[in-house]
Amino acid sequence: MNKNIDLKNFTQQLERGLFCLYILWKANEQAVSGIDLSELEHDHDHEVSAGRLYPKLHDLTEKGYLVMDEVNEHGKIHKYYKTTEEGRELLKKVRDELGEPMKDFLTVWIGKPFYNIEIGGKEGKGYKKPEKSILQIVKDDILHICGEYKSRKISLKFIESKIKASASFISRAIKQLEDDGLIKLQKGFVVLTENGRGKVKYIIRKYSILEDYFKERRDNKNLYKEVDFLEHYISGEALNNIKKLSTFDGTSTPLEEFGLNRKGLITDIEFSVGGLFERMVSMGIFPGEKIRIMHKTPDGFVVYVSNKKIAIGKDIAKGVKVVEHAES
Amino acid sequence: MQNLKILLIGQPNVGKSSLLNSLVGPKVIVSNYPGTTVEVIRAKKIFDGTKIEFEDTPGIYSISDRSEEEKVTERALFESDIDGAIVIADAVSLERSLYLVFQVLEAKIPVIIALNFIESAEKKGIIIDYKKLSRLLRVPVIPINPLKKTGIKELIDAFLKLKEARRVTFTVKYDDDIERAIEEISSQVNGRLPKRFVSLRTLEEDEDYYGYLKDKNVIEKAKKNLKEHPKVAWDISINRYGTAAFIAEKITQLVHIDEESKSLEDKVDRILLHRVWGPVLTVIAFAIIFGILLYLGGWIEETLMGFVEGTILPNLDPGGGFFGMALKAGLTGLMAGVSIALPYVFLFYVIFTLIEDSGLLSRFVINAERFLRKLSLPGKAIIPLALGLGCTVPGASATRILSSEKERFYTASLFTAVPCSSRLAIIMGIVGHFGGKLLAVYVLASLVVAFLIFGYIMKKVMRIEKKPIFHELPELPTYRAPSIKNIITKSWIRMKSFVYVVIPFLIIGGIVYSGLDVLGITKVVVKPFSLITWWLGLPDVVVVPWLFSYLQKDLSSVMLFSVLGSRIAEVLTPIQIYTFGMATTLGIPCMIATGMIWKEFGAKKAIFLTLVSAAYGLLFAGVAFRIVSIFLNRSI
Repeated sequence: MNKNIDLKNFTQQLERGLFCLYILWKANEQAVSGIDLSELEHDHDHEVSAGRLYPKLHDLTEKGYLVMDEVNEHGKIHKYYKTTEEGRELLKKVRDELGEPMKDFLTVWIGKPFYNIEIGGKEGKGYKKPEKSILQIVKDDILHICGEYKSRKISLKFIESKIKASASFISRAIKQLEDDGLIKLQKGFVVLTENGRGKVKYIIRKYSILEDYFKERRDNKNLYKEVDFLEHYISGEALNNIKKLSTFDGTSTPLEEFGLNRKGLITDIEFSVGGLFERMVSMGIFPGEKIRIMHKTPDGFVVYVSNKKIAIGKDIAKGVKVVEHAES
Repeated sequence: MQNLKILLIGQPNVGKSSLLNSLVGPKVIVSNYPGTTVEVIRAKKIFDGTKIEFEDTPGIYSISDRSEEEKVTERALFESDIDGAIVIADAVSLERSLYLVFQVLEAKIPVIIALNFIESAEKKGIIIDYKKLSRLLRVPVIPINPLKKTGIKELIDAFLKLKEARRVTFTVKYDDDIERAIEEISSQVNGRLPKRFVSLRTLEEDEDYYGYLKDKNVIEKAKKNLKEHPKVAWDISINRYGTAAFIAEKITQLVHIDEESKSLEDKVDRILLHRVWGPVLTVIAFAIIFGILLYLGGWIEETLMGFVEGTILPNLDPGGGFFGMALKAGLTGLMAGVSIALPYVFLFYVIFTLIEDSGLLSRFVINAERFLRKLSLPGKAIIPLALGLGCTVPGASATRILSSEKERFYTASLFTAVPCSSRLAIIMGIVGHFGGKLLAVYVLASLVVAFLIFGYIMKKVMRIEKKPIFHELPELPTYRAPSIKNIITKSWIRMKSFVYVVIPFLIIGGIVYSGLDVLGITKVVVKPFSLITWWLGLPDVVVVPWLFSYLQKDLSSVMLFSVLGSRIAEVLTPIQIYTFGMATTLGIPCMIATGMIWKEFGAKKAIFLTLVSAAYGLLFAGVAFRIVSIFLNRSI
């Protein structure tokens, strides 16, 4: 027997363990992409090669500690990862197992106290975790699909084609739903139980993206609050624009004062004229839409919005709030 | 035979009428100015043993009750038993089209989406997965190009399957609180309209739907629970558009494209919408129209007149007796119509349609807004007014593009001082020819003054409120090369009423006059009008031509010719020619125009307007000739 410890093996294991811990920790805070992770690493002068990161992410996802979402941003697919309930349990266990010195060490390394991780609960710095885990979302999604496609038989394959989550994750969600008594499996097809039907009705109402789109609009400051949730539903540009809006919060100017040919995003519309609002919205003058002033006339503007040119009077332009937004 | 009734719905200028044209043949006016269809146009055709009746509706952005277009479309949606609706969607701004789609779906009407302008979208780098759209909304989506006639067959196939209708299953989901309010109101909805739709409309404060509720208080009650939504109508709109944008984005792929071609349009617009050059060019454009009318129209008129007088009339021997005279008089009337009015009217509409279809008109409308606002009118009022320069009849029907009944009637009242081609014929043909070109300019200038004064008085009397500028958010369509076929078809449709209504009137008028003349009644008629002839400073001989001007303006010219012949310049002084011109041109031009206003606004308003404008015309002419005579005496 070799008395000397295998130094290479030891460091590798230490590194691997810490790395997993790090990913789970970060992905528990909020959904992160691979790029986010490698960038975060830079803060600690820690180069992480993609070759190392992605297999690890894949591995953790396969084991069910992470769940992966694909988000289409400007035509590119970005994968986002989020720690699952199981991953959180693992984090908790690790925290409980570790001794004080190790916790101190991790606090320095991660840059946040490792003592008070309120896994699955509230965290500091104004970032409120979504009330639902992604597992919950996937579960609700499955119920949603069952409700939406009432007329057809719902196979596991069909669910997999509808939900962007790994197969193992879906099967776990289905298992839990079965345990909750919301669905039954009949000859390989998913069937709603009486309870399940009631729940579906609730979900279908509750789960419109717009509900959230909405809330964001009214309370820009809490935009990041449910970003995971949004990322789950809204993809690509809309999401990006919402994110941009949140960054620009408070700096928007009335369209009236906006410069010629500058590109902007509409942040808000303020009006007292009743019917006008619907007309504006139905013409694409809507928070989050891009807008550009093409021409100025003595008493109004010609703007380019939703790929169309529309004339807006000065009085109306006062009520449209915009922020500068260079094409990314 | 199976019958289907299908509604065509879409935004203004989205290609509804072009689509209908390629479905049933050229029956519809297609233009590049938003808002050409001001009433529902019906067309029928048999496809594969199924009779399909299409109803083309005015372009709308949403189903609300703000404008006449929206009301007309809304009525078409609910008051006739339709089997479904084709919503024509614009691939360039899909989210906007989807907003309307959602509202139609909310009304539980089976929808087929016809996706137009795919090529234009692709040029802008927008690629749409229409199959995915179909899957998401669970409605058929068919890409079309009415100009190239592609997708038409597929669309017809979709209609024929409409009866085995898929029921509408897609619904826009609102916020929990709003959904609760919808449920609450739904329990109080009466009648056959979909409960959810009525609930939404009432929540959106559309009072037209309050009548469907058993108890109107339910709205207030439901709203009380909506503390999170102090402006629930807004939130519903936003929610709906949010869903539209979300879905549009899901199926859209953006590709980067050079913006070269777009910048040319922007350069043109920079000049046409310039604060100085814009209005100047607008005025120049209309001046050019008049120039062309004057010279080209005048040339056509002279050629026709020459042909008629030189070739037809001398070889015509109707024989003596009453019938002979009547025939000759009738023919004279017909000739007047064909040779005087026709060249002007038709030419005018050809040029006007050219401007409209190219997309220039919408720019002129933007420029006109600034000036028409002085009369509390939106810029687009320039369209009925400009059409009125051709003939008041299509002008009066085009007032429908305005948003309120009040605004429409106000605009129609302005036709009093907008000379139609027949009145222009008096100004050019009688005043200009016998009194000199300068005198014609005097008449035109006086008409401008008369227009402004009358507009101001009517504005005050009718209490027309000034609205925020561009309150209708006018859209500027992309420039397009107009198709000649389209222009000819459209001009013909516009002047059809003139040909079928005005010309018969001219013939009958001619016969009636010769009848009166033969019976010697004209001399008796003159007597009671001595007060008016005194006021206008005119000799008795012009009374009959002046009276006939109320039947049809062209008759005045015809009558004056037949009374005085070429002695007009000898009998009448320049001032009298001027006064005659003013007295015959101010006022609602003719009985046909009155009839049209009657049809549009009811008998009371039509008679009121005709009398008021006639009185105003006489008053103004009398005052004006006294003022102008001072100038003329000095210059002569």
